[in-house]
Amino acid sequence: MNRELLRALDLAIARDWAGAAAAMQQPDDPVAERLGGLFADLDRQDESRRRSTARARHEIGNALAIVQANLEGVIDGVLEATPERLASMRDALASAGAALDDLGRS
Amino acid sequence: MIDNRLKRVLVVDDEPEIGEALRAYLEREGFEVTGAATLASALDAYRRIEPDLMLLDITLPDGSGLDILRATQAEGRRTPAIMLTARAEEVDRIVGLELGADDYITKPFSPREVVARVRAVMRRAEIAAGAPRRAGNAIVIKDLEVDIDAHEVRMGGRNADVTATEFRILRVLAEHPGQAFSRAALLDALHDDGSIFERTLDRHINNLRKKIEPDPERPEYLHTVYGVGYKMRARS
Repeated sequence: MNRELLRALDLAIARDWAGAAAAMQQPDDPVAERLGGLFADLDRQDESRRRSTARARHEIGNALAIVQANLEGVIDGVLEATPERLASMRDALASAGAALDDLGRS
Repeated sequence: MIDNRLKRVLVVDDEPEIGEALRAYLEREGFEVTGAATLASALDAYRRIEPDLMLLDITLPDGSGLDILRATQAEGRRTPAIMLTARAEEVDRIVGLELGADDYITKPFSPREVVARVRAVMRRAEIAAGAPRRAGNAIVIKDLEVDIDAHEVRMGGRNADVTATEFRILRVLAEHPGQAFSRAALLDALHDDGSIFERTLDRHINNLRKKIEPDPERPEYLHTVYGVGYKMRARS
């Protein structure tokens, strides 16, 4: 048991929650079972956080790309500063703000 | 300097505001731009226009920009591509999968930077695929040899006896095989002092065809690009 526990803890320290959970699959050992459950839960949370971060990165990156490309276009005289264009930049910034809020809550 | 005339760029991004800005910049630089917002419409546009370069957003509503790369490669085509992504982790996939993307740009980006990358990738692709072979200081395209030092043109090893003006025209076209020139662009490239006019250019081309083409009625080298001007055949 000690050997498996040490191996699972090493994997957990390395944030390999799935590996740590797998190392704790000891039949009929309540401690191993609980630790395995904890590591599996941490793995799910980690995965969920990774997905949220990637989603927010995508949303914010796209929104900033809209603002940067259009602002530069207006400054360079390539695009016109129409009310529609300004509104789409405002909307993009609003969605970037919302994505940041989501990130803070996740 | 790279010549952008009639170079076609396919811009694929599901954000219309991004696609529109890229289109405006690229068109200002002389590129012909076609836009698409989905995987399906991008593949349709690809087959229709056969672009010289693709700008591909990775995340599309019905698939991925990487799917476009895979599909075109499965059809045996190798079109230079620059990937656009807002996700840093996708960069690793692009590099790791070795799908043949020539470059990648992470969002947000400066459209000026995108134009610079487009130029750089096109230049590399032209050097790799379309550059004429040089033997000594001669340009060789199939059986045609334009000898810069000797100021001679040979077809199948035989001297074609061209005039000085014909040589200059042929040299410009041979240095850019496969690239269409409008008459005005060709005159610009010749740095002509005004002695050649657009209307006399056609006559020079006809004379050149008589001298170098195996069948001047059905040119293999000096092609007419209808509505535009002329181009030299591609190297292969």
